[in-house]
Amino acid sequence: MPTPQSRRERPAKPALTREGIIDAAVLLMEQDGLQRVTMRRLAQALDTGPASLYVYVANTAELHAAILDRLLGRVDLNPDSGGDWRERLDTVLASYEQVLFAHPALARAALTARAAGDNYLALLESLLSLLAEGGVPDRQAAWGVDLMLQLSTASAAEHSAQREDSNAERDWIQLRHALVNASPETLPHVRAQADNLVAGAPAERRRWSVDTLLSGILATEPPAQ
Amino acid sequence: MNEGGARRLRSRAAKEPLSLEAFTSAAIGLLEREGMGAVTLRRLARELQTGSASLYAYVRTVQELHALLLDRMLAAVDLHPDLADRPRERLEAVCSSYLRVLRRSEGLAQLAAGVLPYGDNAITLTDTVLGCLRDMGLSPARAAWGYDVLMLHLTAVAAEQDRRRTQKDPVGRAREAYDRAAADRHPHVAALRAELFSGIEATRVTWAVEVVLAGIASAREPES
Repeated sequence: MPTPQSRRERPAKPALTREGIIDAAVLLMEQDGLQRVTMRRLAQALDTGPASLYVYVANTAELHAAILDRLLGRVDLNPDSGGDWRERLDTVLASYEQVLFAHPALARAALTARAAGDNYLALLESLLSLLAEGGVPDRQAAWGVDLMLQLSTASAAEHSAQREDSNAERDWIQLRHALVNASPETLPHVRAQADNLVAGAPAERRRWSVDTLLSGILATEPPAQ
Repeated sequence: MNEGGARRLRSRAAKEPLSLEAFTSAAIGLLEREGMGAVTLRRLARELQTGSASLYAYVRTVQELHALLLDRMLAAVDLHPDLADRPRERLEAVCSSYLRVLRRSEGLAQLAAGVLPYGDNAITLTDTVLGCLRDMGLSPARAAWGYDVLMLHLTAVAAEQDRRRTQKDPVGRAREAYDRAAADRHPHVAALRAELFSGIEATRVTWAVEVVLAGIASAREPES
């Protein structure tokens, strides 16, 4: 059995902080993907035991939420693109989608684990202030912002999943084939809309979706409580 | 092969050739018992007491397996032909049924969020939704692009509900964070924090579908 080294002789380990733990987790994710970011792996990377991590982060779900929030710090909240509030809103959401798109597993996680950290709140604040600038009434803005973020998240999850899938190209061809060759008797609408269903670049689609939601949000009052 | 080996093979009970039906029902059984995370080619081969190689006759990748499963599950969506002359009502009924189907198994909605809907049942659902939108008087391009927004929203709602199976009180945690949002740093969040959480889920979903439909009807014509 090796003689245990005196604690004094070992180089001092940096003290654990929540910030430091999340830094290490982001690094681990960028190296190995989100699936590999578990409390056990993270403890190994930080040269400590999982038990010491639980003081700062309750479980893997919370860890993933914290990583998500950290990455949301990369969203451009103050685009100097000019333009009216609708355009700036679209630009912020485009930047949000871009951040998620770069990390497919994170986009999927964002669908189910809502972040509630500082960066998420800053994103929410930026969207709400743009909606206020556009004169969207409070309750519509509060409910509407949720809907807009949810749709952006789902769109990023969809696109990043397809980027990750080696068969995406073939699936896409298969989908087009199924649409164009739909039976005019049993699937008349699909047949008639085959081109419209797949037309438009992703950015144009997103602009249209954002516009559509904004028009709908402005036109639809939430029911009285 | 030596004679003994050949005899041993023959004396084994003849295994039925794997049919597509047996294959998909085993996959659905696995999905319903353990959720989408458990549905891998390896697990499925074990369930069917066969090698992964014999599964490749049906699907080549786990993504393909998932797409096949999703489409099978979509057969359960009630397309409400009874409401054919009331397109708006029909659309809402079909949307509710789609949501119910996605919620049936853990992970199904998250899967739907990443799969291109090219299976027969998915295309039939697309046709029904497009038909409702057209019958509501929407132009072809609005119906086509609006369909996408509507389905993306429903899928996201269902996926979000999945988290309630795995996380303890996720809303409560978010709420605490919002309550801490200081008026000087996040004034809009602080001012609206009650409204951000108001309304029960069903009310929110009904409102969201109304928003999407109102939006589709009044937004600019897509430039496709």
